[in-house]
Amino acid sequence: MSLLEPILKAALLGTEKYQPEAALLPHGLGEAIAATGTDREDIFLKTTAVALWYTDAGSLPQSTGTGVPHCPPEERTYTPTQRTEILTEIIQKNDLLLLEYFTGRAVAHQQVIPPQWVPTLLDLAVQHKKLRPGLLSLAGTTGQWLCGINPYWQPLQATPTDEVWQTGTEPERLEYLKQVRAEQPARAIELLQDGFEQENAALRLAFLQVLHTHKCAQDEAFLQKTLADKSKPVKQEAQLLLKTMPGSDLNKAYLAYAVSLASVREERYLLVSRKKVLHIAEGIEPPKALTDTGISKVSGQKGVDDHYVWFAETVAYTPPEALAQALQTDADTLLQLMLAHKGLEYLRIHLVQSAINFRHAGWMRQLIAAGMHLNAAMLQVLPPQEQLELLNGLLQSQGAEAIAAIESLNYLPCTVQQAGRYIEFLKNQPYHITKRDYQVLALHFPPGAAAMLEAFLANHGTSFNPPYFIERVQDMLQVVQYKQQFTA
Amino acid sequence: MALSKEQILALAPDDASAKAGQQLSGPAKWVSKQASPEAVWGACQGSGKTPYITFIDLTDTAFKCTCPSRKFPCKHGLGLYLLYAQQPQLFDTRGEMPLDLQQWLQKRQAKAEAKPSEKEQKPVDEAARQKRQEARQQKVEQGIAGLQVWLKDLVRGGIAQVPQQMPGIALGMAARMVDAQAPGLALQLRRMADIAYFEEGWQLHFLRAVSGLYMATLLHGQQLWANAEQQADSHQYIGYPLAKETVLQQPATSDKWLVLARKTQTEDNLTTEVAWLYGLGQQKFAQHLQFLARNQAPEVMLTAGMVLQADLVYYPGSFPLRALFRSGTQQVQQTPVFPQHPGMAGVKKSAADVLAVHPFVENIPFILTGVQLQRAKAQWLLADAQQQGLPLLNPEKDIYHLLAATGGHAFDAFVLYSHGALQVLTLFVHQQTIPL
Repeated sequence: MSLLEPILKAALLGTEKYQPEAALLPHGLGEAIAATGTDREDIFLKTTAVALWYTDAGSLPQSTGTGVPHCPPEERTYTPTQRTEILTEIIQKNDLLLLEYFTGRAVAHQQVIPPQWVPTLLDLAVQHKKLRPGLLSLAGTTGQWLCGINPYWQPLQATPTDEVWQTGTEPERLEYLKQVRAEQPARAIELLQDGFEQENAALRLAFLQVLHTHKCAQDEAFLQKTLADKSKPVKQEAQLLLKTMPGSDLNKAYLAYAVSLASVREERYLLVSRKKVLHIAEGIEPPKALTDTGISKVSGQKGVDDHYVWFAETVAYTPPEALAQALQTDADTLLQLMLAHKGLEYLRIHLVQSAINFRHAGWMRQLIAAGMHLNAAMLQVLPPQEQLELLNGLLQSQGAEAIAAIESLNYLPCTVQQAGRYIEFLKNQPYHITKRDYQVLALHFPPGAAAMLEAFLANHGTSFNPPYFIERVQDMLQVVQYKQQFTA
Repeated sequence: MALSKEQILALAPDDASAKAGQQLSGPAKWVSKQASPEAVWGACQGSGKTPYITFIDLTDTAFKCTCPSRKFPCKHGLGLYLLYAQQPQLFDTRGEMPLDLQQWLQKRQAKAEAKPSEKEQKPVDEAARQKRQEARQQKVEQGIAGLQVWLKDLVRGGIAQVPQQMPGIALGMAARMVDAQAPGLALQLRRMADIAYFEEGWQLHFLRAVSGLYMATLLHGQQLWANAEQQADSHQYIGYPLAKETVLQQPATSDKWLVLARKTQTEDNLTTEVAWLYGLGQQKFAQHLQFLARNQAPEVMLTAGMVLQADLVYYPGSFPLRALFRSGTQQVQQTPVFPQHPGMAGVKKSAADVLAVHPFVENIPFILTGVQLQRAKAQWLLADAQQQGLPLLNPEKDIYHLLAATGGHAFDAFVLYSHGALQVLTLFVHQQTIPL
């Protein structure tokens, strides 16, 4: 029997009901206490104290349990001191935007963070799914090793399988579908085919939206079946996917109708020369397949004839190159003719839609030059360097869209001059974008912009109004300095 | 000698100050930045017209700033020190130290060098002091008598209902001990209130607290100490004050002291800082306490990994740990090298020897070498090379930090032994000092 069992029994029952025997303690200690005790409680408390001290002093170390396997050696290099300090400072500030950016930079250099920071990274990876791949890469071999030991981190190692599709939550299934679509586009269609009608309408819509990327030949048959969906938004999404799928039956119907309406003719111009003119025929009504999928039956715009509306709305879903070829001209000339056509003057938005749907950079350049109001979707049709040139203009008209475009460009650096133009604009419109947006903008600045920002602060510093803008410029300078130090 | 970034951030009074300090660590924030081997100074532009002037004493870490902040060190001090630690090349070393900085440093030096006997001493009224001591003695004895009755009442009827009554009954008795001028007993009762009563094994923790208190009160009441050291232990446990000036009369131990760990706890606007020190020459441990009212500057700024040349004076006791700095401290550069430790059997033997003379000691410090983490079912252990282990008290979060930093390999550690288990406070690995 252990020394402490009778003591615990007496404590729980109370000394009124039970008292340990004097012989409990060794070396006659119990008897000595009993002989000199003033009452039962006095004897019990002394016995307890001595028993506990005796146990504490006399216990031996235990034979050990199972050793922890050693962490395998790290193959990649550790981030150098300055990068580590920047990363740890950002982690301590819990700044997820900067963490995502600088984690990506470190991973791109094939580096990992020193091991003592790995538990913090793994905790963040559990909380923030979006950052997970970057954080796990930055955690390196130590991270993988720790995930194998700590049950809380074990799910980080798990590779999703079709079991997620069968039994996961809606967000998990959506995430899995995106992953499968990126790796095996046709497999995504296989997953959707089985039981798609049983999903709720919102989920059916979300699943269809995944199919806008990594398109494949198997998409059309599935989408054709989905045209009969009982949910209007789902049906419209399927229609959109088919309309923008070159070669699909629906897309071919759009092209055929556009060709039936339009013709390019050469006409005498100023008596001595000839020029091409676009003619759009009247009276050819759109087929049911087109009016069922979004083409207006009559013009909804005052002063704009039906046949112009039919043509423009159809062109939105007609690949520019295919239409130009069918009309025996080239895409650039066709666009010029459409821009010059008076009947299409108020319908140019559909030309923009065509450039976006079929990612036609040539049309987009001309449409922007023609003064079409810029948005992020238009910008993303162009190559990255061209987007940089136009971003300042977008920032001035639509700050949030410009910021979204910068993020989608993976923060491709602008020039110092471009950075200066952003500051000049925001100086007068400091609340045009949010505090987070200033950080995004700063991530877009080159390391050389630090001197420009320092000069701005030195010149304007204390007297500038509002102080909010000065604080934002200070924050931006901090970000740019991080970039400088990170690349040093 | 400048501190590292981690050490500087550890000086911050709270997280908000650490964050604000980091935000001020960019060069753009400082309109002037200068340095010498002894000090760093700079001017930071705030929202007002005049920049704030900040000084830092590098030899004996101290801060001074003209900003109105009541925090210590303020964000300007932290920011300037962080900037200096990370980018010393940005600081102008050619300029002369401003006059007020020179005066501040001289004043600090003079204060540090002043011996206790040289400080102005008020004449003592012996009779009044005797009367006060007798009155206090009486109050303490009355308080103890009441405490003993309370402790006996707890065990008479059985302790099964205690979890439902806690923490109220213990805190109530703690308040009575404060009134009885026995703050040490009040502290023990507050610790009793903090036991996790709804976890398995609470009964033993409770009985340890109750029986320990009872024995301490008997020891005091019946004056059962064997020598002056044990009397000092008893007085310290009860909470009799011992004047700093009296302690400083004791012989000092001069050594290079490695700061092993520093922990702070704030309750009711009072911050208690506990720093553990280790003499690299004499291999002795010491514990330094500072009690700081809100926004009060600490007398000494300590951070783990720092090495200070200093004289320490121990409080009397049979296992002396608590100590005071006799005079100023000087930061020095030294890489700690620890002697090989005999392992867990040695820990148990040393602990038994200490408990034999001072059974009330809470934590016994050790520096263990070549230890490893092991697992026995759900319990983590710290094991030595002879495959003997003791349970770890550290929370899971700490265990995984230990694993990450060591990769599962052997390491050296500063630990506290308490009631058969260990708590790792600092680990030494890859020539780094990593506090947990």
